[in-house]
Amino acid sequence: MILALREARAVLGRRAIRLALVVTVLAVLIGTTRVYSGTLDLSPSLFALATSDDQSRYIALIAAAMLGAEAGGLWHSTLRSSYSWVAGSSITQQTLQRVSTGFVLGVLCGIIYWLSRVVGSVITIIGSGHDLVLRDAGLVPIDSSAVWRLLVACGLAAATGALIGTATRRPLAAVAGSFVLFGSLLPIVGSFAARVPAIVSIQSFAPGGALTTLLESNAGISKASGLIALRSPRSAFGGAAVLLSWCAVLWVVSTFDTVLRSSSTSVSSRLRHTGLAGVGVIVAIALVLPPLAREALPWHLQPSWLEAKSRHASSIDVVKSFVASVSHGRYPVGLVPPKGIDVSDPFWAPLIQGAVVIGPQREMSSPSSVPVVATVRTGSRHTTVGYSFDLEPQGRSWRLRKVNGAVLRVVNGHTG
Amino acid sequence: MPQKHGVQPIESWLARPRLEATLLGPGWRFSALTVMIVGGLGGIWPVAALGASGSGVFAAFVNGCTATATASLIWLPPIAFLCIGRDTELGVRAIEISLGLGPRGLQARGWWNLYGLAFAAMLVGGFAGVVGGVVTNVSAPGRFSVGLVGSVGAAQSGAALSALIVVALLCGSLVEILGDRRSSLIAIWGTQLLTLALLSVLYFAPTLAFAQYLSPWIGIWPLRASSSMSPLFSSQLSYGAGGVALAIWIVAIRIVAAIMTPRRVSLPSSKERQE
Repeated sequence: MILALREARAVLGRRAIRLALVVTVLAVLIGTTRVYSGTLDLSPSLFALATSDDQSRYIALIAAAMLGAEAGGLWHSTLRSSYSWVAGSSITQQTLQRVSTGFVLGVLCGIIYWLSRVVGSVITIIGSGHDLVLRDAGLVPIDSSAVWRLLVACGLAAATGALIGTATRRPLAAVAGSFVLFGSLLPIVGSFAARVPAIVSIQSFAPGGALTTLLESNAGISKASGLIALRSPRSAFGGAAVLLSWCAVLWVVSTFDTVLRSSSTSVSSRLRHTGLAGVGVIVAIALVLPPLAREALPWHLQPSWLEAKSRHASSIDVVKSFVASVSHGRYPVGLVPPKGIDVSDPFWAPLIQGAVVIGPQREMSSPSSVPVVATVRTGSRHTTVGYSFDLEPQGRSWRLRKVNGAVLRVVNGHTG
Repeated sequence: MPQKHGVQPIESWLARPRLEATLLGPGWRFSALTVMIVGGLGGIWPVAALGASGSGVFAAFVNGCTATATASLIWLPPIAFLCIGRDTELGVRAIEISLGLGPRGLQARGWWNLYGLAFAAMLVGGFAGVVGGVVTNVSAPGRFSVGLVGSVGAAQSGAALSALIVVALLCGSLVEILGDRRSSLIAIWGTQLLTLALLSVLYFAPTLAFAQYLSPWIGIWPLRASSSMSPLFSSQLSYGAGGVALAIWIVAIRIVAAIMTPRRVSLPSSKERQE
């Protein structure tokens, strides 16, 4: 812990870091005062105003992640890794130290955020001519757990950022990488999501989205304040699982990279690290690929269709039952004919008299439209009639909605 | 009285440097990662791409093993070289020679290591499939079970296992013939790429169908026109014709290997050993 604090102080000593923190504070101050200065008709308490929910907390999370990334990347560029190696620290110990440094920096970033919020709230209240009350039941809802939850979130974001820095080994690349991975929290991404819905799915599995899910769903907050309506996973457990998976993958990548660059020839350590890398890749693929791939599956590979087929309750099975019932002049139990269908109508005669081919599935463009072809032979004359059965889902089965029919072709004479 | 630091049995002593030589050699990391990723995809595939509502744990293991064995064309060649073609790195061969193993013994040990590692890799792929299957059940919740629901059939698993055995045999034989690493890998992967190129144009130029027999890999090619959704990259040979072609190729390659291998393994004479 002392090492982490010392390392955090060294990181904060850099001019770029201080500049980034100043920019963050200014952004929070401006954001807080701008949001509330025009809307304070009543006099809220300082605590309620400072902890109220707004979008500036995402700025704090992104800043924390970038700060952690800078710390993780600096580790290599300032030769601290070499000092640790000389001091006898193992790769795991070094990585743990970087993660704890990132966590400390993140919590520090969160504290600065809350202080900025308090200052901004004081300016807002006094500037709007109200009395300064520390704690009172105002109109703005008080979320007492928001303070420590944001601190933890900033710590986790910075720890993840430190792992990104460890994996990339360059401060600039680490900061850019963490901005890409956490930048989905920015309001502008929400406006893109309206046009490209897939962003919502991707956002849910990005570290920033996972962090938001972890903190704001199932956690007792009055309302989820995510800028983007997260679809999956929605539970705090899911968010934690996604975030931990990211951390595991980043850890494995950084460890694997370190091993590749080291001169160690230990067989067991190489095996272990390669195994960890493989498992990390598999977990990442298994978390991301199946939900996205399932949505992209064609209709005949969707689980609902396969399940209906296994129960013989697909639209093709319903049409088969209907055609069989028309042929036999009666309907099976449970099959209700559509209104207005009269099986004595000549329209249905080819289905009764001819050779009928239903489907097949590969010729269907959707499950709600089943083609049926009936070929009637009268002497040397072959008449082919095509039907299109339109159906609509009803519970776990399908219901006939409309049937269209037309003569496709008439062939005179014997066919080869 | 048991010795704490006594002499280890020759077998375990021999196995360890061989394993180390294999695992420290070039290309093993590629093979290991490929095995794990392919095995993991085998566990993920039924839910992600085939619309299965869930995958059983044992099914994921079977699917992982099957996928790994099917993809052995990709990951096995580097291991084949490390087991059979690597001669004197780290002095392993020297150790074995000094312990009195003859050319046949050395050859048998190389093949034993190759098949041992190939089957171990298949099992690793199976466990990777379990990891992929279990995590998939979390990310895409469905019908979770422990059994074989969602696994490939016994025929497909058996075919994949046969392919693994044959690929190991062909790769090991080609390494025996060619000797050095670069030539072996170029020959093995190059002929696979040529097979792929031929099968990609076969749909548009059916007259080239006879050329399929010129590839040693055609008998174990995983994509078949009769069972594949797309004719692209699929072999149009029947299983019988493919099997016959494969058998002829194996016999021919083994004959060449049997002729060429003794020239490469030259043991020192008893006089040289004494010196």
